[in-house]
Amino acid sequence: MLQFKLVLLGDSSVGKSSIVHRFVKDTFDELRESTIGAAFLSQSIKIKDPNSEEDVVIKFEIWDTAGQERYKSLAPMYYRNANAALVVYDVTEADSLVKAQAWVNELKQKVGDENLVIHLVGNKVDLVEEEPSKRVITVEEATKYAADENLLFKEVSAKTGLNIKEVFQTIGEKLYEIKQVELAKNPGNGNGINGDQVNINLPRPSTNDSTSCCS
Amino acid sequence: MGTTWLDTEIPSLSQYRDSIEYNTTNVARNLKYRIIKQKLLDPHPTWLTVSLLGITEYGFVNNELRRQCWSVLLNNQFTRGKKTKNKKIDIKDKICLLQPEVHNDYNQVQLDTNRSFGYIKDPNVKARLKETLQTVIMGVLTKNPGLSYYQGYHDIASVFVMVFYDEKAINQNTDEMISLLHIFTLLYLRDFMMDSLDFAIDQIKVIPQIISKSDKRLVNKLKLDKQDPLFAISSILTLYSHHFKPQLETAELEFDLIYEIFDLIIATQSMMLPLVMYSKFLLLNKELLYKEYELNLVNFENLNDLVHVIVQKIIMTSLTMGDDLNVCRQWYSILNEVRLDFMKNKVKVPSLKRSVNKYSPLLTTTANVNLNTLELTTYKEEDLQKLLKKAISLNVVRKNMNGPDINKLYRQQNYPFLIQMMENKYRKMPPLVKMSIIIGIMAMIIRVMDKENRLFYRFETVIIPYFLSTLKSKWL
Repeated sequence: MLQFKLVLLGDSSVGKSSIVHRFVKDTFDELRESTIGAAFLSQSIKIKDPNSEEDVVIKFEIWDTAGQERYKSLAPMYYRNANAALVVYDVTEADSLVKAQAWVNELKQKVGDENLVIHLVGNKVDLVEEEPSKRVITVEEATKYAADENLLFKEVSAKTGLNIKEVFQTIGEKLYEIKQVELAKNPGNGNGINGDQVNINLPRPSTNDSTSCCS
Repeated sequence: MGTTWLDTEIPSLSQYRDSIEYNTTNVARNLKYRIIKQKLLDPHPTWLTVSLLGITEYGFVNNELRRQCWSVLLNNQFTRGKKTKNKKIDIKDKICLLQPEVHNDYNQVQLDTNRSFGYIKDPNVKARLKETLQTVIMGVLTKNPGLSYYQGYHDIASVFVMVFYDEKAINQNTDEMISLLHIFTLLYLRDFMMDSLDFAIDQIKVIPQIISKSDKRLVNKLKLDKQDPLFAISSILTLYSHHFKPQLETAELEFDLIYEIFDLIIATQSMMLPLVMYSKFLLLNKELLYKEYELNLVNFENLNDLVHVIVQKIIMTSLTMGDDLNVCRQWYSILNEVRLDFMKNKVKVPSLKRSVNKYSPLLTTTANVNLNTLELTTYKEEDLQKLLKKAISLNVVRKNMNGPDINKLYRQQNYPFLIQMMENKYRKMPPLVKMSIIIGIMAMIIRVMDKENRLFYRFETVIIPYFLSTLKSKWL
């Protein structure tokens, strides 16, 4: 089993906690209470090794953060050593994409790890299915931005569950792929261009899952 | 989840209702209810009596009494400025409070209040509570545009809303709620109402300092002093109301931890006690923390994550363990311990001058001094506004600093002469010198007070024992 650290970032009320709860517990509350500080949850998924076709278990250690601007200063504590970041916006809130873009910039500047997987997600598509006029951020706009910045991207709904599992599946596969490349490049020690950095951020195999925390 | 503290047998609810313990408790609560009710009949109930009743077991017993007692205490701790004295918000203004242009934080308040009270079943009650919550928060913010709203403040405000919730009269109570929450915010929450979290982080960093007074090993092992203990931020910013949601009262007298925590804070006028409670919680669970630490060591790459995760796990377990009756049992015993410590003047408090800003409630308005001096510490609105302004300016400086610079900033703070004399200079004197100075001062006071017999009585029964205990605990 492999473990990866994943952090959720995004503006207040875009649905970060709802996405995590849909993924971890498969539940949804219409009005989930605000997150104060940060919350930790974990969940495992299975992916297939593309070569051997064997199942590989991937465990996500998920840090769900508070969205209000003032909590921004705490974020570095949570994205430190992260392998992946899920940056969330709300397709019905114009400003939330601007905030998401600010997070992407901050991650690129501060984490300084080119292997950090950043996945942009536009949440609450269920609202625009009910009432298309509610949409203020188009798929095209977000897709173009994600392509320019080299991010993974999907629109999701924590309410209906649309694409939630897929997002984590994609991240898991991507992280596994990166890890295989790293192992091939640096079987023993980190000698590559980014050798040292890569090794710091390598996930560790988990040895005692039965007792590990909060699963 | 292998927890250990609940290995003792727990009776079922019906068994418990038949037990002597339950019936004794009920009798005690009923008695206390009647005593408080009697005291409140007094047109000017003494601040001290009400305060003592709030500190002892069961706090103010129920919300009917709590409303009145909080009002007595908070209105005694605060003197309204002349300009605002008789100003009431009328209904028209209340509607204005719910307009976006009223305050910068309006949108955030709306987002958070709209997501509040999710645990209340009745949709009508829920809707009314949410609306009241929003009105109350916006009411406080408009009274003081310098205050910045933070996520978590709505949890604190929801405790006030619940205490004043009355099926028939909730709307009539809005003015009183705004007024009391405003006082509470100005006296107790200034550190949190800045436009950044820095002063709040300074406060949670006091937790390891408190712990190290009784157990250095715990601090060292989890390296609590080498990191910002962010795991505690939600508990402290919300005074535990994020974890313990205030419930509607039922007909029977029921326990509700969160109300009693607020009773204690308001009655002692102390923001130190929430930090002391958190420290006690970690100390009480240290074996469990060590165990989880070892088990999870291999799973986390950095210590911050590891400690945050294990503390969160232990807190969550402490909130949900046992059946309804026993939920939070551990927190009740912590609360009782803090009550006792406070009464016996045994709360272990580190020196805060290098850790927090000098305008912090911890060093000024809520430094838990009232029972010690037996003096009513009351603050004028104008003075509080000045303190708030100064804190806001200092926060601008503090915001752009880290580690060593912050220590330097706080080390260079100047304090009023008297506090410095008490804290620093006299502490270094040999005990015998201190003793003789104190005896000298006491002799002078006795001579003055002797003329007033009434005061002398108080002096003999209260101040001398206080002096002796201070002498014992602090100086010798």
